[in-house]
Amino acid sequence: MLYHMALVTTITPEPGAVEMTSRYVLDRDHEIEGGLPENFVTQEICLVCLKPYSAFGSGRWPKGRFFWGVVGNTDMDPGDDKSAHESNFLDYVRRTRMFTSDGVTHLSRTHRMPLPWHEIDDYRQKPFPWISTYIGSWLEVSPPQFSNFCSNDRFEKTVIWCESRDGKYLMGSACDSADFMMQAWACMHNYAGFGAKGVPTLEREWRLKIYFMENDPTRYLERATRDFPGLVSQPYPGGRPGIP
Amino acid sequence: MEDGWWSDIREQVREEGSRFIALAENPDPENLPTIGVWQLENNLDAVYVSITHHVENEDVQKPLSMHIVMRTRCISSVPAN
Repeated sequence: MLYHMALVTTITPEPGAVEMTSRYVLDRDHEIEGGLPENFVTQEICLVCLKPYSAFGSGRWPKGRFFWGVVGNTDMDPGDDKSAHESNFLDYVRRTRMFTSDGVTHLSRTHRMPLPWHEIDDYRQKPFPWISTYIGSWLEVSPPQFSNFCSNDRFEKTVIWCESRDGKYLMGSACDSADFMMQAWACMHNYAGFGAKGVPTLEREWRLKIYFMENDPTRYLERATRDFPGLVSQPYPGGRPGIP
Repeated sequence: MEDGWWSDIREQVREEGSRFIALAENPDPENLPTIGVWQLENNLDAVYVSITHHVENEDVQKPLSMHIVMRTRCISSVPAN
């Protein structure tokens, strides 16, 4: 099987931030019969914040412990110390924020649906479910893939962040094209869109920025809004463009 | 930055069973995030990008850092004509 399309992602650092942009690129001189499809799967970025040396991870996480893709995440070894996992994941959720109609909102204080793939009395449901999705206040219903674990609390800006353990710093992601976000275990997802429909496929761009700064949500939103002017329009009081 | 900072960063972002693809040169690591790219040998469908940002932090002796995992799925496979 040969692939003639590539998703090219460019990651550019700047003081206090990293910009990520993605575009689809077709091999030179290659044409696809019937033209390019309109609906591409968008870029998927998972920001994992629980490394043991990170200022955003829990101090209790064992040093040198690798956790992504092997153990310590969704497929925890039953023999592991559950209390350590609880401490790490719940601590992370309690330090994660988003903007709702109430302003800065702690994700741990939002309404979180029981996770349907765990028993209701599973330790990962306590004291609140460890995963939750959120949708913009401009949507009436959740996308079907998230509907059974989507919070009733809606965000008003496509901006999400986590405070460092000492409360001095924040790390977050922002865009102006997402309709839903998710906090899962010790990561955060900001589902930026892949450019406006109607624009030629190869000209559509996915764009997200990740920020590191002092823990000042107001300054964070101001900076994100400078980088993503579309945030000014959120929460789209006149309705989300493209959504009837 | 003290000697060994680069190797320290490289070791921090390394996962067991991983292989490094690149560590971008950073002319100003105290002010610019450092970017590394790597893969896990048992999951070549995903690209891992580590972003490390240094701050002075009494709580953490290591640089302030985080990981992001970029999962790119195959969205269109077009056989050669």
